[in-house]
Amino acid sequence: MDSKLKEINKSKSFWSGPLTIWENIGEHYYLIANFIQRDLRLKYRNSILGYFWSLLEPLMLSGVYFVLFVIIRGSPEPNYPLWVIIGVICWGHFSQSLNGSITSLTDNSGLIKQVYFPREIFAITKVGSSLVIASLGLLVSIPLMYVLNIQPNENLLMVPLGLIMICMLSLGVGLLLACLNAVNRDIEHFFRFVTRAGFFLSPIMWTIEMVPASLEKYIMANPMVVPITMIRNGIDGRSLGIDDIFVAYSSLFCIISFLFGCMVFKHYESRAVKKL
Amino acid sequence: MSETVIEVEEVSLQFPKTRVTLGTVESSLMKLVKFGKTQEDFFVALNGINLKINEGEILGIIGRNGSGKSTLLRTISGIYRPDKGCIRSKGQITLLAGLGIGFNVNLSGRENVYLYGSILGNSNKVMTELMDSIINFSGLNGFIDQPLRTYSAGMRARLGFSIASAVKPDILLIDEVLSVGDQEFRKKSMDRILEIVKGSKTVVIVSHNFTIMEQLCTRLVMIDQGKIISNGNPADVIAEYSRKVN
Repeated sequence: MDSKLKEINKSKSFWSGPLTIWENIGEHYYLIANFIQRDLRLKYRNSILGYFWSLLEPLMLSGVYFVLFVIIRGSPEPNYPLWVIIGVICWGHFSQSLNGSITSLTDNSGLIKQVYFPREIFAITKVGSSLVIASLGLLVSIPLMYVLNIQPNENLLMVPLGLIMICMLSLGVGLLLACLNAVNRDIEHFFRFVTRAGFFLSPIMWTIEMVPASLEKYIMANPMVVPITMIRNGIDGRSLGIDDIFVAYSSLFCIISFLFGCMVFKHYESRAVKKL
Repeated sequence: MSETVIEVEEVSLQFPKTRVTLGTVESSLMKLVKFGKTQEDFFVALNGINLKINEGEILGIIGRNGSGKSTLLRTISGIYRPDKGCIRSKGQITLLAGLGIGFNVNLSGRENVYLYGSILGNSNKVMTELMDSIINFSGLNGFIDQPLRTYSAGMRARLGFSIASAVKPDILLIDEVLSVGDQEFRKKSMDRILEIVKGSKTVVIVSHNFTIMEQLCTRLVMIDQGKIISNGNPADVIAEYSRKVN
């Protein structure tokens, strides 16, 4: 025991948020690991297919979208089913991470009021476990790549980059809104709608090639377009095919929302806890 | 010898008063109409608390329901940040409140030991080392690999206490959980607390059970309406409490 008394729960400057969160992750990584393990174990408990559900779910969903697409637009390209599957998995990852982070304080109010540990861990856990599920889901593309005769190439490196961007974006926006949601639950209801509507505004059932040039810059305002296309084209063995300016915009959007989310969360956390 | 390990200095804490609004159409409309117009009321939970706790002490906190006892413990453990004043401490602090909070009923007892252990700030390695002693102490040998939903409330509480006390924090804060389990287990947990204290560790207890408090504590503090109104010898403080209540 060191001999000096230390002030507990000291308030820190607004800008130190990301650093504090980084330190807390280092100190509590085993807690994060245990929480993620718990989430995964419980998700598919008492089911015969277990983890296979994380493969089957996007597979069946894409079947539905495939049929829809054929009805609306006629016969698509041969690789279309693969694109939809990847899109569905990516969007699932995003919406689960985002909605899970937004409700991370309100869902765990019981625990928060009885034990102290850094509260951002709840959101980080949600993002972490949905990342694991998404990665497992993406494995389904391996047999499909074989069937569609796609040779993996260096574009595959875009896949982890895209996943990291989705994690940063959802965690950032989630942390930004988590405290607000503790005060006002309207946030979570509104964002559940946003993630549903966003599904159609993101390249899941469609690809950027199908978008008319005049609409491109509006579509690109959605920061999810670049990461989804990165993951999809990466697996499909094609280059990104998006202007650098849009890639830079999306990357900056993800990084800034992540850093800003961390700052806001750490700043308002103690006030939000009192409202739980 | 007796160093100060916790120093509570002029700590005040207030909560915004929130009226219960059920999700009815009527209450939602009322909220919309009043949006931004309502002035927030505050409930003062702690009002300028000053307290020094020394190493090796067993400090008891008594007071009526809603007087701020639990809030004080939570503030010391870091759950709430004081609005005014500050709290300084040294060493690992563990708050034992609502045993089994953080448990998951669908995981086995053993898995919950790791989970609860890490919630209290301990790595899986530490928990593996402590596993045998936790199982033995809780007396749940035959049940430890069963899912927690098959446990009775008492068994869950026993497991919770066994984990939290096995970890041996420098400072143990106990909120109203002494009377868990059956007679035999209560005796065991009393002994465990005495053992923790003997290792020159510090314990702070909130309880309404004066018999236990008088036996166990070296000092008592009485809180009323967020203020410390009495501080001293257990017998004296309890006598003052009963005088005040009657």
